[in-house]
Amino acid sequence: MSLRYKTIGIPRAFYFHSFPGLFETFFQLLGIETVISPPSDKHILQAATNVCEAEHCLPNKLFDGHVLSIADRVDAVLVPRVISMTRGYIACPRFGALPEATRAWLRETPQVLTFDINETKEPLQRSLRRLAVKLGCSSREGKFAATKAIEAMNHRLTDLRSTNISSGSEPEAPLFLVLGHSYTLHDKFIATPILQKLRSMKVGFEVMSFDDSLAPPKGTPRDILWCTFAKMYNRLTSPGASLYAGVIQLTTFNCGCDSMMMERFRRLCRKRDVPYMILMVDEHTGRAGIDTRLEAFVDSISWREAAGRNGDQE
Amino acid sequence: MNERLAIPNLGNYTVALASAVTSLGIEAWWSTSTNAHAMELGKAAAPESLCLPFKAHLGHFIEADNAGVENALMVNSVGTCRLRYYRGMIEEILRDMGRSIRVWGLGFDGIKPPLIRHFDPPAIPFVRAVLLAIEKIKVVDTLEINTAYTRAREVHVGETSALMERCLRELAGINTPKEVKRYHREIAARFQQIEIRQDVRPLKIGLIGEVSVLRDKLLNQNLEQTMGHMGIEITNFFLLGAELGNIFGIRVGNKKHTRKELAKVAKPYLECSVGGHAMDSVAHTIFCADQGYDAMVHVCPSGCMPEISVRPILRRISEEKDIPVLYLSFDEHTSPVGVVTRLEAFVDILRQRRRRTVHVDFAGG
Repeated sequence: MSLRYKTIGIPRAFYFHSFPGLFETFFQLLGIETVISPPSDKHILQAATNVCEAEHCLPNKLFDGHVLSIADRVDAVLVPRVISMTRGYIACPRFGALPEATRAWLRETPQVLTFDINETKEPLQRSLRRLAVKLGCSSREGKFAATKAIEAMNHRLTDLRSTNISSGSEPEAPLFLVLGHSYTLHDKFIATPILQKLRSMKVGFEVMSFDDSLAPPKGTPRDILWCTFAKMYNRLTSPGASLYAGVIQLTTFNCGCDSMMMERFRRLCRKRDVPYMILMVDEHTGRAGIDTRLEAFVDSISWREAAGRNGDQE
Repeated sequence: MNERLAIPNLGNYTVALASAVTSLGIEAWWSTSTNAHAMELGKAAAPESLCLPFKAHLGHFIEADNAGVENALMVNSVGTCRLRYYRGMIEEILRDMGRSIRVWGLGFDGIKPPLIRHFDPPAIPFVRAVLLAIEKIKVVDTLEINTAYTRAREVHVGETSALMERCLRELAGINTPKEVKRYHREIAARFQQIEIRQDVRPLKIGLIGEVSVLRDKLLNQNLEQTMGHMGIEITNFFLLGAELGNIFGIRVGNKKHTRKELAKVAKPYLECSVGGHAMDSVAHTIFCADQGYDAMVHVCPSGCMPEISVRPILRRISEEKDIPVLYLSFDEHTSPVGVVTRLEAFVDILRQRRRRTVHVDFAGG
């Protein structure tokens, strides 16, 4: 039996961060070589602007850049169609057309390998198994690889959760919650400068993680249908949220879902008296601007906390 | 005392909706296009990165509140696009502004939509009102089709647009389904009275994209009329009657390709419906290329999620099927002059192109 592709490219963008380790493990177990694009940087973005739709959001531009960076080294590029990542919820509508849009500008080579990830319709394991069959493996091999890959991913997610929390230098240092999508929070171009700055300021912060425990329990009205935002909303309204001294919302230019949901979160935080700051990253963001805003935000919150403490003593 | 209800702008189709509401004894507050003042209000009150239709609707409702209207109706969506959250967000923003207008959706939370429960119209007049609206929607569809055909050929520029306006005004005044039906039959003859040039073969351009921008004259800088006066025959692929027919599975006037047919046409290029009218845009482009249209114009509000995400696909179709596509994104800063300039340049190219192909035909024949 021969496999359809020898090497498969995985762009280090979008769902790569939502399903950490899943695709690499899966293909390796099937005996297919994988090529993962390098972490995002200016050059990748620069390259993307030549092929990419001008009005795309920043993560989508980065995605195109990542595809381009590995295009000439692989037989096929993996672009799953992510329709739903949590049962009963949906993903951003942009993902619906992503495989075809990628195929449209990539032309004939490399091919675009796609499959539907739709948890509402069928569990991930079964989708992966069918992908394996499509690639020329047996259903049994597929099942084995899928199970192992999902295990590896869950392991990775657990690890991530512990590394996502960075405590401050002193126990009284304020703790911030950094909100964003998994593909912005773990992207080197978008988030790393911000997280580095937070670390250098020696404040505690927690990066949003999207495990299923945050998914709203069954039966609750599904007001927000986008799964990442439903989880963020849950995190903000959970009792633990009062621990945070402030919320830093990381967003990217032209993100449609963010534009809607940030407004809601802003209102929610105002109601609960939690300071909320929006940091928008675009292609031209300079580090100095972000540093200044972060410093100002952290400073004003420390003063606020100090004032609150003094007030209590009086 | 009669409460009033502000109706969202659905272009000329607002006429149909308004008369249905009026026939229930509720006073309707409406217009066929957003006005510049409402747009300014909406711009000031809305979050900056939300799309143009949101700002237009918000501004429209603020204006309604200024006029003392108590209720507003907002379209709902069950799709994947941001529109799903617009009603709630508009309501919240209006409340924060200290405004008392209530925003109702068309969604269900029980057997009756809350809006219907609030006004609680008796059953028989309600059914009659729905029938009246359906008849009027059919008439507006016919008006749109006739206008597009005649405007591109008229001898005296502006006549068709004037007739269209007159017809819409008259239509708003008719109150029974029977009379609307009679009126419907007269329309074709009235348009035929306009003097047209028989010898011309106008450029045929399909208009595709996002609904509000396709239908609201302020949002699209009066695109249809501008193109019509340039002598272009346009086909606007959003006809509400046909659209409703697709959603509810009943036939309302003109037939449109059903969702299933569209999905089949679009399949080689797009296998997922994405959301909004993204798949329709793809399918119509393929369809028009096969039908020999000269070009397509794709319009959407800047940052529209479904429509922008299919643009790379449209580019590919444009190349493979040899049909030019002009992409126009509208935001609150778009100026009519810029749109006209781009259209003129596009049309010039299309005319050249047609001349060239005709030439080749002669040489070959």
